[in-house]
Amino acid sequence: MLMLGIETSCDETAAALVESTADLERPWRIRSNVVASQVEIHREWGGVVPELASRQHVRDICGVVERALAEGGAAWREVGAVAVTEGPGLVGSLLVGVSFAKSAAWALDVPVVPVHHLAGHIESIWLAHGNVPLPAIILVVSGGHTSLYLVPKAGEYRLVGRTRDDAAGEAYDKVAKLMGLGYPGGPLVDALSVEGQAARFPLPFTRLTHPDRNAPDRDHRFDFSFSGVKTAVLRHVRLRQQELGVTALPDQDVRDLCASFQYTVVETLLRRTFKAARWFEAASIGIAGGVSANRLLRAEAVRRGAQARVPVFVPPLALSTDNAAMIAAAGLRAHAAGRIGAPDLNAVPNLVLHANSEERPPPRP
Amino acid sequence: MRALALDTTTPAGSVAVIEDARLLAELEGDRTRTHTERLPAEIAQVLAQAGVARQDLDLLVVATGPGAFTGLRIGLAVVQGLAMALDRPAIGVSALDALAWSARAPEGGAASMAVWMEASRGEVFGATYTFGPDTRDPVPDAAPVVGPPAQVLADWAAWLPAGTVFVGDAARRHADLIGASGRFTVHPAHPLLAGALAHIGRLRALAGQAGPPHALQPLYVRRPDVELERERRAQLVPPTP
Repeated sequence: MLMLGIETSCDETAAALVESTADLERPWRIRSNVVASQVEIHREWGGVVPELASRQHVRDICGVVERALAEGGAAWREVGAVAVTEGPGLVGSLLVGVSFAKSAAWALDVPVVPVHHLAGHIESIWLAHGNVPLPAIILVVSGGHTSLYLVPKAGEYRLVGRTRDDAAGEAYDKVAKLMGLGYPGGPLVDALSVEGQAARFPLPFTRLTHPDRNAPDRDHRFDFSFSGVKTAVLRHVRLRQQELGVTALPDQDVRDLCASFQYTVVETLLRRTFKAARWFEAASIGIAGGVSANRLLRAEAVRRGAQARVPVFVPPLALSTDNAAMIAAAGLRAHAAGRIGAPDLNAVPNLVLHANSEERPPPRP
Repeated sequence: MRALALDTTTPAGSVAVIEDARLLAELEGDRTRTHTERLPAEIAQVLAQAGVARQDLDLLVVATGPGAFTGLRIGLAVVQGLAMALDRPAIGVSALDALAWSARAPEGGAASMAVWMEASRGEVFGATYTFGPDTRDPVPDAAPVVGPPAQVLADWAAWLPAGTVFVGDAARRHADLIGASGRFTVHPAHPLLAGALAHIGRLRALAGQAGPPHALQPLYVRRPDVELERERRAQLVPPTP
C-alpha cells in the first residue's frame, strides 16, 4: 500500500509518500518527504499569522504534492490512499489540506484517511526506528503541543499529561521575543544558551496542584505549565533593565537567561517524562515534535535513558518537525485498522486524540 | 469539451457540468453544511445527474472570488486536488465576471454593467464591465474594488455611463442607493454561478488560458487584516471611523 500523506495544520505545507513493507520490525518505508516552510513569511510578524499561513498553503500545495510524487518515483495511479491531518491546528490551514486530500482521493477512487496531528508525531518514532519496546511513553513537544502519551500497544494512544497553558515551543518563542532575539525562538535560545551560566538567574519549577493534594497518585497526571517560567524570565529582564538603566541587556545577561530558561524547560520536560515512564513501567521512551531538535533535551534524554536503562528514541529532524511522512505512516496504521474517512470529513481545529484520551490513565500495572 | 465548475464564493455555492456550450446539470449547494463537508460529494452528485464520469472531464473551472477567504481557498483546494489527480487543466474565473455574464446572457442587454457582491463589514466588492456587440468573455474595466457602497458609487459616478445596470446580491440590497441618482438600474437576477463559470472557463480554455492547477490563485480583493492594521499603525492609511 502506497500512502500519500498531506499535512497543512500550521505553517508548513507538506506531502510525502510512505509505503508499507513486509518487514514486521520496520513496517513502513519513506519514498519521499517534502516540506515547504513558511518560516520566512511569519518571521516578519514574530509568529504564525493564520490568514497568511492559509494563503501560502494554497500557493504551495500543488507543487509540494507534485514533488513528493516525483521524488518518490510514483504515478498518481499507484497511490492506494490519501492520509491527511484533520486536526488539531489552524482551521484555515487545515481546510486547505483536507479539501485537497478529499477531492484527490475521490478523483483516484481511493480512501481518504483522517489523521490526528499528534498521532502523526507519535508514529514518527515508529517510522524512524521501527517497532520500539512497549509500553512506550512518548513526549510530543513542539510550538503548538506539549503532551505525554502512553502507547500500550502499537496504534493505541492514551493521553497521560499535557500543558495547561503554553506549549514548550511557544514559551521559547515568547521568551525570545521579550528579549528581542527574533522568531522562531527555539533554535535562537538553544544556540545562545551554550555560552550561558544557568545558575546566574535561577527560575522556578512550576508545581501543579492535583485535585487531591494528599493523594496525588490517585488521579495521576503528568501535566506541564510553562507560562510561569516565561513570566519569571520577564521579571529578570525588567529587573536588570532597571538596575543597569538600559533597554537592551548585555550579551552575557541574555546568554545566562537563555541558559537558565532552557535548563528549566528541559528539566521540567524530562522529569515528567521519566516519572511517567517509571509509573507506567515503560519499556521505552520517545521524544517527537519540533522541540526535540533542542540540543540539551536530546543529550539529556539519552543520558538519563542510559542511566535508567530505558531506551530513548528521538527521530531525525526531518521527521520531528511538522512533516507529511508521519501523517502517511499514521494513515497506514489507521487504514490497516479499517479507519477511513466519511464523505463529510471536515477539519477539526480542536480535535482530541481518540475518545479514550480524556479518560483517567490506567492505574499502575 | 466537458467542463466541471465549482463556486464556493457564497455559503451555498454551486456546481455545474457543461458539454461544449450546453449546460448538462447545475446544482445549488446545501447551505446548512460547510463546503468541506459536502465536497466533493456535491460534485459526484452533479456528475451523476449529467451522466458524466469524472475521467471524462476535460477541464476544471473554479470561482476565484471574491468572497469569504476560507470559502475561496476550499474551492481552489478542491479543484487543485481534482485537477492534479485527474491530470486535467484548470482555470480560475472571477465570480464578478460570472455575475456580469449571467445577467447579460442570453439576450444581450446593457452595454455597461456593474457588479456588486456582499463583502461583509458593511462593504461591497465591485467591478464594472463594458460589453461590445461581439463580447462573449466579460473582462472587468479595472481591477475589482472593495469599500463602503456609498464610497464605491461616488468613486464610479464621474465616469460610469448612464444606463449602467447593476447586478449582484449587494446591488439588490443597496438598490435604493443605486437608484437614487436616476442614472442606474438594478437587475433582479440572482443566478447560480457555476453554469456561468463553466461557460466562461471553457471560452478561456479554448483561447489557451487554462493550465496546471498550481497557478490558481484566489481573488481576495481585500488584503489580510494584519497588513491593513500595520499600515494603519504606520499611518499610511487613515483610520476608518
